Amino acid sequence: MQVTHIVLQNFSRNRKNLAFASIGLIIGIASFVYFVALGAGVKSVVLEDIFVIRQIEVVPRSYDLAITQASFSRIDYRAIEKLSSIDHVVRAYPKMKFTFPAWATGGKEILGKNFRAEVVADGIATSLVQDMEGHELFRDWDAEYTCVGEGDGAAVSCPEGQRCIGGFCRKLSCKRSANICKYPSYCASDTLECEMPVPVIANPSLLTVYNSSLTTALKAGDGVRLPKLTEQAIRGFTFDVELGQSYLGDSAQGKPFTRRMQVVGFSNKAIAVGFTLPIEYVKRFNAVLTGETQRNVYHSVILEADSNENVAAISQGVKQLGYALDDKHEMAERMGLVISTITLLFSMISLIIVTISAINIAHTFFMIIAERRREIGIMRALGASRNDIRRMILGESLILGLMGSFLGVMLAVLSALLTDYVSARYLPDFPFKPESFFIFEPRIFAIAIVCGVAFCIIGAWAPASRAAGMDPARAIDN
Amino acid sequence: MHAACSFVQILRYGILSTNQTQETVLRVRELSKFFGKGDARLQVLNNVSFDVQRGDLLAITGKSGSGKTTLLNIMGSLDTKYSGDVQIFSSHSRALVSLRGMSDSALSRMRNSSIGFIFQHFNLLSHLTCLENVMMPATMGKTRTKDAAARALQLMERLAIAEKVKAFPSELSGGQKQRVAIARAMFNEPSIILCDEPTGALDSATSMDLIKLFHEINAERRASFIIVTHDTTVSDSCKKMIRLGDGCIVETRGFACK
Repeated sequence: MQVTHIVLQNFSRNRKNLAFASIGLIIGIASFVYFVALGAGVKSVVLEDIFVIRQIEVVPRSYDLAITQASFSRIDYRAIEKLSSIDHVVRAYPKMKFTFPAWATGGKEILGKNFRAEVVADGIATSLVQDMEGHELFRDWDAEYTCVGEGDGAAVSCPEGQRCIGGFCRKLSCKRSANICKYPSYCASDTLECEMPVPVIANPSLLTVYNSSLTTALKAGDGVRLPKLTEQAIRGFTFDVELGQSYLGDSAQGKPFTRRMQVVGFSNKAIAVGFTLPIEYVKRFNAVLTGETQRNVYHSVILEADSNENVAAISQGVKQLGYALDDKHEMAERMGLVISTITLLFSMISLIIVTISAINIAHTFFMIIAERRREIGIMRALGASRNDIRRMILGESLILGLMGSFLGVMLAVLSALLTDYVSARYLPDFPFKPESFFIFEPRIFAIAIVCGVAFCIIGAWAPASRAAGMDPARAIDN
Repeated sequence: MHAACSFVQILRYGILSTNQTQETVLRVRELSKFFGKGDARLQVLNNVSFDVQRGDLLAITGKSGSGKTTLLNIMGSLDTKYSGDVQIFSSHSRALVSLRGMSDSALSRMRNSSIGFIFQHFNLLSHLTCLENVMMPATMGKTRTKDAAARALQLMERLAIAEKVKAFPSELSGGQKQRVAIARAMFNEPSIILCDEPTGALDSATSMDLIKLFHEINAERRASFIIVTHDTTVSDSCKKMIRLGDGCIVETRGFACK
């Protein structure tokens, strides 16, 4: 039997009944695609913007001793080598925190008033932020640079405030009263040499939190609200940091000194609250203000996985080596699990809707078959076999499934667009508010369509079998 | 019933011994059929046997409930639960083939290629045009659409309904509908055409036209018609006749006795 031809004809003349039957299917598939895409979108924001799940931060394992915590493992270059050798680890980046107090002063240029605040800072390898805009400025200006020729600054490939002497860049001596240091270098009061500002980077989340919360909570003076800031506005902003001294106390050794710092970019590899410097600066500052032994002791190491799927295996490897994972990572895992569970719950509800729609589809096909009883009998008399009749009914359900699923997917996409529009237009800004809450993966569309078709065929199976088993002689006499 | 059936035993010999030089297109042997179970068991066909030759025009008559339609359904392989044997000349194998034990697909192929049906109420598919109705056996089989359309047109011209190609059954008169049904039955040039009360829904003038048409087609194409009918005008016009009574053959005409 030329089933396709007959199926299309039958589908066309029963389109009203079938359209009514497919409403449940369309809603079920639409809600399935909508919630799965929403789950994927929210998970992406949580795991890629708020917590960078692909990068695992490893810390020394510590034990709670009731009043304090004690660490029984330390991260040095040997530990980094071992951690780097774990399977699926692409790179390992050590991190080092300030081990002394510090405070920062500044902000008048962009906030309208100077603020003074405790500084939390750490250092990372400059290679970790190679994809960041302005990464070329995130470097150790105090490293030894070679140069050619005679002269100062960029003209001889030296940082500003340095002169080429004997093939190496050397800092110029200066007096604060007669500043000869070319911008952006400045005359440091402790060394009386031209120093380049220490480049720092900040985490974009810091800016998000500032714009969405701090601007309303803090005031610049005279009741004036603080302005909202962009990355562009802050890039290049300088402030002075007093190292070795703060509200909390002084450093263990060494004399406090001041360094100017300059924001050169934003990266989610920077510390969440505070600033991140090239690690060489932190090593030197820690050695001067805490002791030489602190130069090669890292506080944590970031392991970059080759893919998200292998993060769990790496976590296991880290624990086997006697190290622990940063709290942030464990929180990310929990958040991911919560989101997955909620997504699964909504997907199950959607599938229940689709199942109910399958029952409705079965009912519709039973009705259609009852109406076509004589027609099926005639077809059998003219040479259609039982299998032909079954294929004919299932063919109609296949078309219904394909069309219903396609419309369901379209409805989900349109609903997502509407949700994003409403969010952008009417919802107030909040931290990490994404441009879109949804991620539509092609495989979700494929799964939705396969599910829709499968449920339609399941729904039509019993009616198709009944039609196929009909006694043709009685059906004709009907 | 018993007395009638013993009369049939005598008749049966004669029926089976018709002219052996002719080609048999249908052979029915000791066919019995029951409906129901236990005390409610009812025998509707009792040991019925006869042959139909190519070009026969056979009328099967009898009172209501005599088993005419049941016999037609069994011969048309629409009813497969019976005892005895029915053999039909297969257009594919060019030989008599027993319907007993055939799979559903094989029976369907047999119906499609070797058996034509004409019903009292025409049984045209109302959502299809006349041309599409005539082409239905091709749709149920594997014939290419272009070839099928040409063949259907040819038949419709022969039956004087060519102008109704695009019309739907609801736009036709009773006689025209039955002509479309005849064209559909003849589409695959079957060995036998089974007609169930073909004039039952027609007025007497149209019935006469239809009988004439059956005779013409029978003469032209040597198609074998088996017509179940109450109408004595129809049965009298047929060369052969079998009358059923209580599931048995109680009278025959046109079957040569040995």
